[in-house]
Amino acid sequence: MLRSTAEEAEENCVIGYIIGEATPSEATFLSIKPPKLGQYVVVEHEEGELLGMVQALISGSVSLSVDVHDPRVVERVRRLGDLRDLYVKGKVRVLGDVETLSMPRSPPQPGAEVRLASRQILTRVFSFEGSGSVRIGTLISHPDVPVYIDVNRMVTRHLAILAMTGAGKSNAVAVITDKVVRLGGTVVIFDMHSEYTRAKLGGLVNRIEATVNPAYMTATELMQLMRIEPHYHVQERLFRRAYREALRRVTAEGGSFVDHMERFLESLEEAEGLSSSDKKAVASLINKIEGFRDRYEGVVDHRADDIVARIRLRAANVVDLGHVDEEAADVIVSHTLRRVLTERKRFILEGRGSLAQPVFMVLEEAHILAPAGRDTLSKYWVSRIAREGRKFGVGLCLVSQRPKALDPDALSQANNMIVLRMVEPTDQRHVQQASEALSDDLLAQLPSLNVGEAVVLGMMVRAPALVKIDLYPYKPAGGDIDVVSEWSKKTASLEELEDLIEKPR
Amino acid sequence: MLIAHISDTHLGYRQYNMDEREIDFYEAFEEAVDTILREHVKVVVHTGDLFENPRPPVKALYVAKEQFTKLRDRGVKVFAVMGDHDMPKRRGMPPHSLFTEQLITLGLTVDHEVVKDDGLEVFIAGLHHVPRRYREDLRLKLSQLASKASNYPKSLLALHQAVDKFLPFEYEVGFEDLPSSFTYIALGHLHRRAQAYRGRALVAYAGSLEITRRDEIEEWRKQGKGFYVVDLGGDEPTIHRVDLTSIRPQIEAEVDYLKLIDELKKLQAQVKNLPKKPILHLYVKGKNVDRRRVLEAVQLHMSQYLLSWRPEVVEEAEPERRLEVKAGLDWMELFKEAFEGDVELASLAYELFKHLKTGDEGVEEARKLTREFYEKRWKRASPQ
Repeated sequence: MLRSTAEEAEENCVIGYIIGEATPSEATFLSIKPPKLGQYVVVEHEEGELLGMVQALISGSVSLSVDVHDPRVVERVRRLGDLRDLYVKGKVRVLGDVETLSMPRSPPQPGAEVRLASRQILTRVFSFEGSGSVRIGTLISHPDVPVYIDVNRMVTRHLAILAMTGAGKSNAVAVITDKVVRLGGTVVIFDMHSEYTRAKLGGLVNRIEATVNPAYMTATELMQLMRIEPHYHVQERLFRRAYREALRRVTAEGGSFVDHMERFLESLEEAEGLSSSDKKAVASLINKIEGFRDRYEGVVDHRADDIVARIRLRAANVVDLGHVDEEAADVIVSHTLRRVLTERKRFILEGRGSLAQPVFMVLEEAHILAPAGRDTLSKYWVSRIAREGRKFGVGLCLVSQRPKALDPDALSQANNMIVLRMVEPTDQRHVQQASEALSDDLLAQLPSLNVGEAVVLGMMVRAPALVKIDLYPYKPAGGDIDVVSEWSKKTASLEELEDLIEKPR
Repeated sequence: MLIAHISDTHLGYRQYNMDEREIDFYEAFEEAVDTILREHVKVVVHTGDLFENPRPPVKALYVAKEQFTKLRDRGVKVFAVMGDHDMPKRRGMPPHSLFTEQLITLGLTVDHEVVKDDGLEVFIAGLHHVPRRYREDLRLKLSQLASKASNYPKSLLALHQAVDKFLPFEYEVGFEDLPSSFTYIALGHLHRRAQAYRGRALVAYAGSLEITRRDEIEEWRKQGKGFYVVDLGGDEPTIHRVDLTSIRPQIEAEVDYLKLIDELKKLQAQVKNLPKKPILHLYVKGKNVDRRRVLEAVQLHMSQYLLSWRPEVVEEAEPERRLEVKAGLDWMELFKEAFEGDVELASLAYELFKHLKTGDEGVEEARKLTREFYEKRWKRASPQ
């Protein structure tokens, strides 16, 4: 791109000088030409130039200090038109030296020049185009500098996408998924609102029906779903017998796993020689199976394939949870997480199994699946994958609009974050506690972000960045419904019908 | 004033693709018209599905023309609305357009008309079938008609719709949507007869003239089929049902396969003297039913008395056998009883039962026992 020398000059011009006391990570500067908040600057330093970010700006006036108590003084100063004693001070957060982004050993000296960072420098820092990186947007302060993220680090160190509703979460998920699939990656999205099934996401969208086959569940998983608590040891013993028997019959003759279990228990019930406590346990197990059937009707399907077998590699797999309730969604998500993790382990450790490639799993509404202060089936597997996923190539992406309701352990395992607009102070605080990289100053930026603008942090970027996320061209259905225009739309009119009927003359 | 309410004539329908069945529907309609003329009815209201489809065979059009002309010549005023079967599916002229001289199709040319008789003014309004998605507009239309009706002492509304009160699973309008300011609301679509009050309005389905589906047989047997003669002259409308006699009888019969011939002969007596050869729906119940034998038997004993017959085999499951427990539960005794004293077989059963009830562990042993028993009892006996 051809750039005018004037622009070049503007970038390189001195905008201020370091004053007062500085530390290696933070310095105050007095500005000649005030920059904008979040802009990147270069600070003169003996070890080479330092890259910094403007984190705070304060303007003031010596004559119009807070000690002025007479409005007439202000009027007089205004009339004089002389505001020469106006000053702007700012704070720079040092991100590291321009070349390597390593932190300096000494603070910048007072009097050091502060210049706006040039496009070349920013491009070098944020646009490391390589085989394993994908573009997600541009710097807010420099729309011509694209921001790339390191996919390896995103998947192995997990990601959290946090924002209030309507701030652009679905768009961010769509952009990332699209790019990852184009790289040849495998993504599984747990789509709580049927938003992505119609999107094109990398061209390969594989819709997965929200069903699980109990035959692929472990005895413990089924026990949880059937609400057989582990302290009922008689029930557990009989349940395990029924489980083994059903597994045998399903492999031998096919049919419904749960039916086989029930039939086996019924035959036990009728057989003689069963102690009375066993009889009681059998009866209550049969009841529990009935309850299980009712509760998870439509989700449990004995004809369904193993969920892992339904995952297509190098594609965006969308598990459509739009029409199931939260409890059922929890069942499906936890089962899928477990199956994916175990299959990946099998592949890595034993070299067999169907998941020959790492998988990136996106959990929408993560605060429902892994909530703080309440146990769900998925929560356990979320934390397992958060801890172990790195070694087996299973990445997590937690998406939530209520970070404070999200399990703090799971959130703190997400090393990377994309934080979009967020106003609620407790949500902000919660995010900050989970991520050491989110400073107070960045936090202060969150409410002022526009739709689609985000703070991007973590190992997947070289320095925290304020990013305008690219707009995904095929909009997933997460956008708001235009209620008023829907209302003003006329319902089907009888005139359409009359048009069909040709009248006699 | 007497008004005939007739509906769902489905002229041109050929049940089982038989000429006779097509003609049955014409004959039923002719009988209805003749009865109407005998009863001194002044107005006829047809509530839709006059024809089976929007492009009926010429014969159906011819019968309609003949009958409607007969009514007009005798001074009877005929109103009709189009039903879902009559309405053009693509843009086109409905068959009713052919009869502008004989009848007034409400919703096609006009949507209401006032009829005067003996100084009594009756407001007659109607609309063709309206699918569910136009429900909002239909409500609006009905309220407009209702406000016009309120200027007259007596009023009639003719519609062809599924009303939720009578067809709860496939309804198009709610019962509450029907305007209560009419005296009589004549409905078509439902093939059985039904009545209810909505405020002071009497709401009634006249039902179909003939039996169009098997599930209408029972209702026809109990209540008959035909049309209504409604008297609007009194304070309240009264309905007089007219049952038709030309309807082709249809009989549902369940017979035991073991007594097939006897039961067929009994049926024969039942159908022999009917005015029209009936249609028989035969359910043969039993185990291992030989369909060919059933076909042959009906052919031989019944077919000459029937127009058509449709057999259906109901396979019976092996009946449960209950054994009486006498003094205490002695399994061996029970097995002996079950195998009618065959002690060898009974003791095998007992051994198998003992091993198998323990679960997996006993299966091998049970297999062994069975093999041994087989060797001993049958292998030994079989010629080498």
